[in-house]
Amino acid sequence: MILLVVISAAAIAVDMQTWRGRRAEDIKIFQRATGGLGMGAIATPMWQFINYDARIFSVDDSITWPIPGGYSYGPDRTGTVSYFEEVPEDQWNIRKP
Amino acid sequence: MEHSQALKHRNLLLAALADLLRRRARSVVVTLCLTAILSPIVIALAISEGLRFQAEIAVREGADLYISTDQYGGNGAISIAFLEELSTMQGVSRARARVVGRTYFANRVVAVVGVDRQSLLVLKPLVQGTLPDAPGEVLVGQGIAEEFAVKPGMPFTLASNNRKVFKSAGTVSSTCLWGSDVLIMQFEDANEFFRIVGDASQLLLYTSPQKIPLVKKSLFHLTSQGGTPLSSIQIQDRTRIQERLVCGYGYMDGIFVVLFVISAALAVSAFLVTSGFGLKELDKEMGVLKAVGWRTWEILEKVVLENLLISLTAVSLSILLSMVWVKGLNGILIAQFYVAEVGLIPHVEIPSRYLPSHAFFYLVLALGVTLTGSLFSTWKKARFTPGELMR
Amino acid sequence: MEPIIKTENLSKWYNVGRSNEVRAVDDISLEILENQSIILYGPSGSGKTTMLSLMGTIDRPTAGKIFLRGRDVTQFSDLELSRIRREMIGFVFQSFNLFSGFSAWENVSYPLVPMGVNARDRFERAKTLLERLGLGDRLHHSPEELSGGEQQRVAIARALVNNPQILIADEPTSNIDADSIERLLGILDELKNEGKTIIISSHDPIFKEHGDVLYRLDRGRLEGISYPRNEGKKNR
Repeated sequence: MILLVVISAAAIAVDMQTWRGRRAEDIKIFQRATGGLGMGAIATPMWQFINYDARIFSVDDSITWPIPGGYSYGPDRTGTVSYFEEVPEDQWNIRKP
Repeated sequence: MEHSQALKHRNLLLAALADLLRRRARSVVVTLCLTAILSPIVIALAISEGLRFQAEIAVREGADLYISTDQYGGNGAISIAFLEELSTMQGVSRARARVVGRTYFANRVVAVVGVDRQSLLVLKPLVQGTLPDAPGEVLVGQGIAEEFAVKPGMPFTLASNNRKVFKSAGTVSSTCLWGSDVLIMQFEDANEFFRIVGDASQLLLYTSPQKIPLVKKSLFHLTSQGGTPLSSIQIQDRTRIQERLVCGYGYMDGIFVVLFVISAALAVSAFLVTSGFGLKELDKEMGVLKAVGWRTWEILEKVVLENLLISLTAVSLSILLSMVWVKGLNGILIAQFYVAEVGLIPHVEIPSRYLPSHAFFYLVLALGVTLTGSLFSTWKKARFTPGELMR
Repeated sequence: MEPIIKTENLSKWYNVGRSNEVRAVDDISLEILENQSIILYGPSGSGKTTMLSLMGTIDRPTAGKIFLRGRDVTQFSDLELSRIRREMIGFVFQSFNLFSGFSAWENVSYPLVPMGVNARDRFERAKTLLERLGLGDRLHHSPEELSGGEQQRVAIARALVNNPQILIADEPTSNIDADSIERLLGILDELKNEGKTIIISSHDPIFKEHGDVLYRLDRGRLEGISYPRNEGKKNR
């Protein structure tokens, strides 16, 4: 049991170290070149952009579907480790005539 | 004959270990139950942390401000004619345009990114082949290149605009989840492909953190002048995006809802086993312990230590199992439940990151499950007389 | 001389008020002096084991009082009773109640675990007791590997590990062979000679001629008292 705990602790330590080295540098190069691409837990912009990268399209237009002849909403867009919601606009003014 | 307190607790710990080894079958069952409960959560959190790490870099190394137009409530393309005006604004150190869209590469949805030449040069360390130079030359993401055997120099067209002929200049290494299914090309090529002239998906502004408020103020001033071309722009700044990132990688939505429900269901079985459901033998042993002079809290301490040892074992097993499965086997069969569009056998490296704070959380969770079952029932029983327990 | 154990109108009833009410012990008053050897004698169901459990503070009475060295332990808390069981009383159960999977020495020394005694000292103490009881070559055997008589001696050793003043044994001859019985009687005599108070429950006639005081129980009530040792002396 002690061996298991020691091995898992060591594995965590090694993992933390590897993330900080070459791997982080390569990601930085890619992101600098593309201007920042990707935020969410989805490998392609399959459903809509909000969960792929909310900067590209910040509106979750899947909630407006289905539209005639259009795509039905993506049921698994929330079935991942990330979930980006729309940020609601909270300004609401009624102008007096 | 009472000796030091430290020795007493050490004795209880060793007694707890001895008891676990003595009741091997029960210990193994509880440990495996706990491991089954913890493993999906460990995997989810590890992948979440890995992706969050990558996403934080994506946000940090991206622009400070993203400008697009508002089109029917969503983001719309913006004219690159504004680039010069925006780049000369006070506080802006650099401005560039980019196209981000999507298309199908054979049967796979890919992101299409069109950037200026200067930005393409930055990619050099990641490219096998050459950088795009001539019109139509494109960098293909590693996932696409491997799946469809796209080699440097290979010409191809895409269904959504088969008049535009591309040529693969090279492959860009998948450094992150979003770098696999991507086509990176020059800005003009992207616009030509999407049949758009003079527009960009977004204008990217770079400034310093201290100057962001100043730049935003200038932008708002521009937008408040109704009727001007810039009056209907959308602005996203890095701070808001980072806030969304934090919320987006919380543990209360998405797959975590399902995970916690499943864990709770599995925890019931672990609870029943640890509470000694049907195990009169444990009650009798407790009676004997009390009869030979053990105090109630000493029995409880031993129970807590037994559960601590089981929890430590289960947590360690879960972490190691998760590492083998996600890092060693790249999350085969399981990653698709945590990351969309990766399939049964992921074609892109599934990131996973393990943190000590998470290990502590798993331990607390495991202890919560085991102690809820055993400590309460032990405490209840320990209040009986030894004679009642032994009957 | 103040008795080491005294009971006043001690009763233990089960299922009180119901149709299946059982009066295991019913209004028993007795006194046990220090260094006496006491036999609770009677047939099965007479309340002997219950009486031992009450005097050994393993059970709580329904009514009446129990005094240990003059202190009324009937109202003692669980913690206080644990202390008494740890310091004053050693209990040998009828079915021994040894822990399977532990060796003989581990069983014997288990009461010392929460007292902070280190493993080496625990082993030495257990070894001394087991050797004294003729089990020096059985230290590392588990209960499953021991005969009934050997298991009983391990149980006795466990009861003695804290050097209690009172040794209580419930039906000590019921699960052992004749040779072991002889050996057991010898051990009990030795312990009495060392100053311990011995309390035994039994329906075995062999105990009719042992012990300083014999209390005869039947259906939970005290039916008679006799003095086997004195009678033996008178008869000689």
